[in-house]
Amino acid sequence: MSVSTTPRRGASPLRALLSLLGVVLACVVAVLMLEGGASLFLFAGDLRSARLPHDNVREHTKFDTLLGWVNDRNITSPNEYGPGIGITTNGHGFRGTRLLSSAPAAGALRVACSGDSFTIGYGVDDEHTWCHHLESLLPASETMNMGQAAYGYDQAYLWFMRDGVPYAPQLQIVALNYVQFERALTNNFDGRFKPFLEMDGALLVTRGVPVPQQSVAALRGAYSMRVIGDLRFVQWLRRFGRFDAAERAAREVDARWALVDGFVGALAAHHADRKSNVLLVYLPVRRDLRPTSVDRRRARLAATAAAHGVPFLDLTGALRTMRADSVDHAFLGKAPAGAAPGIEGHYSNFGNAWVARELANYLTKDPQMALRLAGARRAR
Amino acid sequence: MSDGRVSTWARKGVVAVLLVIVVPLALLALIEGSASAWLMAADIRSIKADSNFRRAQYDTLVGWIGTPDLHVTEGAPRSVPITNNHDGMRIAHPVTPALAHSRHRLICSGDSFTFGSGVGDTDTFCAQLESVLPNVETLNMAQRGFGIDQAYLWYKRDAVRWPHQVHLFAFISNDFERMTMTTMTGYSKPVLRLANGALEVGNTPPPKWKGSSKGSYVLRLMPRLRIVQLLQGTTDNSDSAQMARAEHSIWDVAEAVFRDLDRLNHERGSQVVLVYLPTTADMMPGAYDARRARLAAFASKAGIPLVDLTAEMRTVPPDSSQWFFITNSELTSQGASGHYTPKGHRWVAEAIARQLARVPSVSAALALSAAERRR
Repeated sequence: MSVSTTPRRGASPLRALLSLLGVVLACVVAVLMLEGGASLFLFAGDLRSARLPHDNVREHTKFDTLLGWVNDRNITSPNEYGPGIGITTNGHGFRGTRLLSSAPAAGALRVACSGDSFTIGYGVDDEHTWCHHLESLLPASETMNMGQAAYGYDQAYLWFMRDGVPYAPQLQIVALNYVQFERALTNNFDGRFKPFLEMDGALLVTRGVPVPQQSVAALRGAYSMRVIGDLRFVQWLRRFGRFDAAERAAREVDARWALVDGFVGALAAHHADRKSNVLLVYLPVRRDLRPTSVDRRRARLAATAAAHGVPFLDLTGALRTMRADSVDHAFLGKAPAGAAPGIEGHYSNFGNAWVARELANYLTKDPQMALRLAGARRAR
Repeated sequence: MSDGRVSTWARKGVVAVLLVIVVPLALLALIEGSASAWLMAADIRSIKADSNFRRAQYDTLVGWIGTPDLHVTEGAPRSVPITNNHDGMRIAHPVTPALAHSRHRLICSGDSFTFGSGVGDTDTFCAQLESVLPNVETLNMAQRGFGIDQAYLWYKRDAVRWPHQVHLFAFISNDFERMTMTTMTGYSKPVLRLANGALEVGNTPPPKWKGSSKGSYVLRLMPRLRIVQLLQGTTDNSDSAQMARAEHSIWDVAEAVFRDLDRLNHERGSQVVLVYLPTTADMMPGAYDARRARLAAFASKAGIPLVDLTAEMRTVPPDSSQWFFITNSELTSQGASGHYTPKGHRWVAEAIARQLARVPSVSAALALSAAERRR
């Protein structure tokens, strides 16, 4: 048998290099597919394991045809936010234990605190909410805590109008944060049905009422949307402004600012009619520490409040000048075992006390506000 | 139907399945995997590592010890002084091995909590003990990142020329886990093992390290990979399970270390005291309690005094005790988050002094008066 001594065409260095590159590329593709396959497998598993959510937002809340959910009355949940950190609701459904008379006593100042979880004091006990602290900082005052977890400003407004007005508070503090603006644009929060406000011409109208009974399908759907966020491709997309959920929400709030204008205008008109007072407060959260698109929103809110003659206090500047360790302590960190979900990032005892001090300082030191409140006390 | 036609149909079926199901799924997996790799690369790019954040030098036995004769300030926005003596020990003021007759010396061994990560030389609980215990001079032989093994080896080798009466061997729960490692954030280290009941040093001399680098942080990012998450889902990764796994491999070694420390201290005319320093993870009852209970049972059986500050620190209201720990935003230097603040160190110093006074052999060694023992 003869043996050819001619080099094989395929054995050239270039071909060897290409083969090597091919092997490397195949390995890279295999690793990427393995990572992607693992992600899809986990995603499918998470979708399958979706547990049936509770009917209520929390056990101290109940379904409400106007608001979606509201505090049940006379409820005590002693370990709601961890061992010994409980929540109590009074006979009116407000946080706290004391029942209110139909009107404040002569010389007394009744203050309604409206807002979301940062106002109800999600994560701290009854005595450590900023609303409760105000009682000790404002002489002869009594407060009604009308904060509720996951509320938009729309729900806070509707709750006050229905259940707060009958107790004739001389001052309503409407505490807002960035997320309430976004919640107010939808008819559900994480699948939980809620009402929403719309402008009908110059009129602020309530839509989505009576709020439909909660459906499991809606909750499951919202859960699925959250699980989708675990996909790495979705996380990658969100790094681009166009797909960034926060940026998108900011654009939508901006585009529908007439609603905020209508809401502030309705508040101003109501309190002018009742000869009571309203104060808009922006409560900063951790993400407000650094400049974001929310800064524009706050500036616009300040302008809107001024246009309607509504006093506005923005605590963002004060938070940004706070010492770094104090800022960390102003927000709750790791939740104790068994605590309500999502308490991390809410105001701690220290944070609530700080808000109350800032508010009391403004209410007593701002000449116009102090004068208004003095007048309100005398009017009773 | 002929066999040929069946096989043609079967082939077409397989191709159809491949086209409709397998290929799209494979493409999806490739896209998802590529996105994950992109995100991981971006995370790695964003790592900022101070190559020698421990201000340490290579040591053939211990892995690293403090740079001799160092005096620097580190951290921002609040900078703190770091001063070492010629032996690489952190000192608040110059000391010499010779000890005056009226004075007593207390050596503190440990990790970053004892070293005082994020606080100044005079703020550490070891330095603070000089002001709460009369006529006591302290020497800080702790290093950032040390495990129980390294603290023991350093004391064994270098403390001998420093006469002392008390040795506080302080550690946090995680220092047990460090005994299982051969590197710690880019710094290689020795490991201890038991051979026929005797302690033996492994991975020695440790490979020369270049300090912390991006590469040493990549491991920490691994849990973000979905494949890692999938694998983690197959094992019990609860705190108690992870601790049990570590204890299975190193608990006997740790007990041998403590016994040898007791022996060494007796030889050197000193009394060793084990000090368990609580971290934020200890502030609530949990998996760590079982380890502390096991430690207490061992110490009692071995007759080695143990000061465990956890129970006492838990009695401090949370809105006060939270000021004992450096927060994330307050970072004075890399890795300082979670360590004691000056306030925390002061509290620890006072609590240790109170508990030491109740240990007869220690109060005798430090010649504490009756009034000091009663406090």
